[in-house]
Amino acid sequence: MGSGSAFHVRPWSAVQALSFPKDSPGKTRLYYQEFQEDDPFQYFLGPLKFLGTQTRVFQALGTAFPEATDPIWSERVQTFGQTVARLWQKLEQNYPEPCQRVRTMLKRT
Amino acid sequence: MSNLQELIDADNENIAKSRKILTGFDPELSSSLDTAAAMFKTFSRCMKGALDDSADLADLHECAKELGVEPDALTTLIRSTAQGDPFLERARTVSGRLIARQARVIVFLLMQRQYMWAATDLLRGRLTPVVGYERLQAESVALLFLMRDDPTIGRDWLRITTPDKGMAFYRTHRKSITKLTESMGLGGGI
Repeated sequence: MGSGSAFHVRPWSAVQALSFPKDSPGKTRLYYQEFQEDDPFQYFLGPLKFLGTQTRVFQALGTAFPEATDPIWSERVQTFGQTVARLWQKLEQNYPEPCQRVRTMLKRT
Repeated sequence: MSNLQELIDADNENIAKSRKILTGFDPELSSSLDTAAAMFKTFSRCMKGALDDSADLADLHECAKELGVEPDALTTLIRSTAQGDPFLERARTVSGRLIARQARVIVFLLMQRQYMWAATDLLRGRLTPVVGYERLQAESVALLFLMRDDPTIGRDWLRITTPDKGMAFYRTHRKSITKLTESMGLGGGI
């Protein structure tokens, strides 16, 4: 989905910022900003998914550079991963239904 | 005010707004973006100590001396088809290792920049480019693994100077890249 949505012209790229204003029938708007303040779940989901990717990137870096064996690195990766896991847990607690919807959607793709 | 300036001003306002909203959910949601940026710097320092070129450079200097050529001429000799001299073969091996290391450092720096661009776009409220940067990060990690295991891949990557060569390189390694990103749980980025 990453390559398709970000490097090609795909409907998914527009979905999050697309608007059909009720007060202007027939008009289509595409906002520059993709976060919607009235949908806090989506607001938090984006950064958390991104931070989750960084956790996996950091874990992989240690293996990609076996020469860099500083123990401080593995400690920091572990702490970072724990923080991100705690934030995910908090999101699940605060928004159980939207989280379930995302899980179902991810299973389908 | 121009349309572009309006967007630039809105971006600046959105950064402060995003920070506030993310902090409202949990202060660590906002600060973790800074922590991750600092971690790339930390890893850079870890690498600096570990990926030292000095021993290989000294080795090349010695090979040049034994072959009776200046260090600059050694590069030409390495690239030539000349064979048979053990010091030339040693110079080729060392040079290949240096080039591969250079390629890995560049890929790491690209990853760091991909992160910085993604995080700042995220704070501006732009999600689509962030997904794209994640995809690039996933590909970078896979390339680092491939270059670690086969130094010639690092050399070939550095020799990509045209879009055609880039496409050929990608076609050659596409399957391995996809396999690696999926095995690391980064497949969604591809």
